[in-house]
Order: sequence, then structure tokens, then C-alpha cells
Amino acid sequence: LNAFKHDAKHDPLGAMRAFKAAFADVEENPDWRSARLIERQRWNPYSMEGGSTAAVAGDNFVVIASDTRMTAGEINVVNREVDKIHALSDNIVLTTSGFYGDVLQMRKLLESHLHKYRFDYRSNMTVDLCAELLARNLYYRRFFPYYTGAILAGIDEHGKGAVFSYDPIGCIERLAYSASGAAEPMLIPFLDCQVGHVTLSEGSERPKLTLDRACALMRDAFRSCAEREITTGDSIHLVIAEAGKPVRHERRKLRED
Amino acid sequence: TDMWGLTYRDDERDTEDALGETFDVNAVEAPVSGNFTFPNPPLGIQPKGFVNAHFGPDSSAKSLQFRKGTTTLAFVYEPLTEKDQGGIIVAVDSRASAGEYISSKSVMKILDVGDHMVATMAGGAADCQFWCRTVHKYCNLFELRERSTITVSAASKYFANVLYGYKGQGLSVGSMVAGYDKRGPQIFMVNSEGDRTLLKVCSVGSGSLNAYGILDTYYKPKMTDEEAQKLGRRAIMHATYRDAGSGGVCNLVHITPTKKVRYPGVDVSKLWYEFADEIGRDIAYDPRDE
Repeated sequence: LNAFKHDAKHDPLGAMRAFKAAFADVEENPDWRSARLIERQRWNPYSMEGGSTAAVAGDNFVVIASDTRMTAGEINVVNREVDKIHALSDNIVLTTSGFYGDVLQMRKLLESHLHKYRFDYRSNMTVDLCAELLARNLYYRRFFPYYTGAILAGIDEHGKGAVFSYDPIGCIERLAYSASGAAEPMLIPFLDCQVGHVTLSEGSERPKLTLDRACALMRDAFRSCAEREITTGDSIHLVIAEAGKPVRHERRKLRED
Repeated sequence: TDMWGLTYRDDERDTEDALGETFDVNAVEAPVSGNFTFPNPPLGIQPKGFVNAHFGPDSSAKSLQFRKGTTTLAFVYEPLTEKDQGGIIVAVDSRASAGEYISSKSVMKILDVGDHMVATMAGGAADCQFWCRTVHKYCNLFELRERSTITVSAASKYFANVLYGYKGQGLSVGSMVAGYDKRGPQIFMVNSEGDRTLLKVCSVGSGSLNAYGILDTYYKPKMTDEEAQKLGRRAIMHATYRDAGSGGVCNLVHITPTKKVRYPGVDVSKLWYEFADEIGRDIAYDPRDE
């Protein structure tokens, strides 16, 4: 240690300083800490790819919208045409925000479960069962979670639109509308007002939620997000699932800056 | 078949019981624990620290934090008159917050655990939903196997034992198992620390201190049904008024000797006006729309 090189009698202050520095150095970088332990403390398998997504359920339809931008480190735009909405079947649509690696793994897991269900029971899995399945699969990773905020949407067995929202470890709730991703705090108040009619004042009109109105609201919502959120933009991907009809996709351009 | 935790053996062996009759082994013997284990992060990283670093309050994932926060309460009371039924009142709020963001205002925090029992959700929302569902599954299997209803004591004991197995790994569960069985109405508070306590008046959650204030002041062992329900709603309303982690609607379940009755939710801000009117209190700030 450097402390012993200093002569405490002739240079006590220098000796003290050297001793303190040596002590601090040993605390920061102990001899026994191997490279593996350092790697373990800094290990971060997650990254956020940005973007946002939302879903609105109506009487016999459900509208899911997302942007299509992928960012790296919240600054670089890596891809302008990413699919964040995955239609798993004609009446189940998964959309998520968060780490794209975990999103792809979740999608693979759900698709294989749906496939196995079809093999075992010779009919398609309903949205309610799939929602419960996803909640459980998210919780099975309770101690090494999927870094995603998932939304599952679809048409339930009574023909009504269903939207299920999740937290990263699988807290499930069925709602009339939900949003997830970077612009969630901007989308939810808008949907609370226009779809949930929660914050409208007493006398204002409360229009019925038709398919056209839902699509228009989603487009407006994402246009306003693109104005004020850096990781949302490039284009809107709309997916419309109606009872008894195949799933429809629509794309509109958004700001690219 | 391999669910986490409990498995049924897939074999078709028969087993002999004490009287020498043969039965299918699955029908007679209790299920054994399967070989499912929760996957942990690699490199020997401890899950609690890892989850806290990436999903905790200091992490960069603002909207991806786990949903938490609540006020739940339950109390046992006896009927005052012949028209009342007595039993247990369980009242909860309905807010779930992910960090500072309110991720949901309509969570159902009273979960069914059996035909005559409920469990409340406090702490981590996903944790409570998953483990209460596990306990419900165990209760169903128990009732099929033993051909009699499970006691609240047994269900809460199972719950506490399961949670003790994950002690120290970062689960957050503060649940009350409440129900009516042959020993009468019982409320057990079960904890992710492994606590299990029998209580007559209980409240769990961030707003529990406020709820205890109201409960301790107005609780009487014998009450009419309306008084008991009003007490439950009043305690929740006061807790949501002063606690930022609680809000939404007040959901109430009344467990009587014969059945469970769920009441529709009442918005807590409307409750505030009702109670303020009743005690003749002025609303100090009365904004008027021009």
C-alpha cells in the first residue's frame, strides 16, 4: 500500500491522504471481486425500443392502433416500419410496447399455445381464455420478467369487443380502452375524455362509439402523440377486428421527425 | 399435466385404501408438487435485486412498474336485530398505481377463493391475483377430494405456507382471507413475510391507518346490516380522501352465514358528499362553473 511509503513522522498529512485514498480504492475495487461479479452487477438484458400503442373496444368491434417507429437508446431511429400489432388469429390481437426481444418471445409463446389448442380441441381459442393464459405466462416469469406492457384485444364469444391490459408480470384487467408505451400518459386522458366520457362537463354531448368514430379518435390520438413524444411517429398502423369478419389493416402516414 | 406447484400423476395405478378397496390413485392421494420452478436470471443474479433495479421506483421504466397500492378492510359483526344477518363486511378501493401513474381505477380487489370465502388484494396486484387463484384451485381440489367444504383456517394456512416458500424473493402480498365456515365468521390476514393472524377487525394497505381510525372509532360488535355496510364504506372513503395510493370506487362484499353478496361499486367522491351532508359539514372549497 502507498501509505507505507510515506514517512508518517516527516509527512503526516501526505501519509493520511495516501491512506485514505488506498482505503477508498479497496472499497471500490476489492481484490476478491472477479470480472464475473462485475459483469453480474452491471448486467442489463433489457432496452426500450420506444413507441406506443392503444386499443378501444366497441359493441361488436375492437380497434387497435400503434405507431411504427423503433428507436435505440431513445435517440436513434432504427426502423420506420416495425409491426407492433400482431394478429394472432381472426379474433385475437396482441399489441405490446417495451423490449422487442421479449415481445417476440411472448408472441411466439402465444402462437404456439393457440396452435396447440387448435390441435387439442379442434376450434379456435377464445379471447377470454387467451387473456388468462397470457396473464399466467407473464407471471411464470415473475423473477425475470418480460419487459413489456401488453394489451390483448379481440372479439369475445358473445360477439362483443374486449380489451385486456397487463402490467409486466401479468396483472390482468378487462377494460373498454387501454394504452401502453411511451405516450401512455398522453393517450389515456384523451381516451378517458372521448371514449369513457369521464371528464366531459355536464351538458356536453356524449356520442355513441361507432367503428368510424373509434378509428377517427385513434388517428387523432396518435397524431397528437407524434407532436409531443420523440419515440412515436412515422406512421399509424390500425387493426380493426369485427365480429364475424376477418381482421383489417390500415396504415396512415405520420410525422417523420 | 404440469401446472406450477401441484401436479396430478399421469399414471393409471390403483391404490388400496385401509379397507382393501382399490381406487384410482389420483382420486385418493393428495397431489404432489411438480417440478416447475420459476426461471431466475442467469449468472446467479438474485431475482429480488434484479427486479428492483429494472422495475423499481428508481428504474427508467416509468410506465412499466408493477401495479400496487390500496386500502382494504374487513370486519366481523353480529346481528343486532332479527332482520339482520351478521357475518363479515369486506370493503376495498379500486386504484392501482404503477409508480406515480394511476394505471387503473377499476381493479376488482375482492377475489373469490371458494364458494363461501373471499381474499382481498393488497400490495402487488399481479402477485395477489396469481396466488389467490392458486389458493382457489387448491380449495376446489380439496373439496373434491375430501367431499366437504374447506375451512377458512385451512385455506389461509395453505396460502401462508405457499408464500413462506418465496419469502425474501420480493413478492408483495397482503391479503385477508375471509369467510364463513362451521367455526363461524373468520378473517385471517396473510402476508408475504409469512404472517398469518386471526382478526376480527383488519385493514391492509397504504391507506390502512386512516381506515383503522374510522373502524376503531365506530366499530361495535353488534350492528345492523346497514350500519355495518355504512361503516365499511365510510372507512374506505376516509382512507381514499387522505391516501394518494387509494381511490376509485368502493367495492363491498357481505359474507352472510349462507351466501356471499357483492354490492355494486360506489364512486368515493360521491361518498364524500353523502357523508359530509350527513355530519352537516361545509365543503370548505366550493368551485362554481361560470
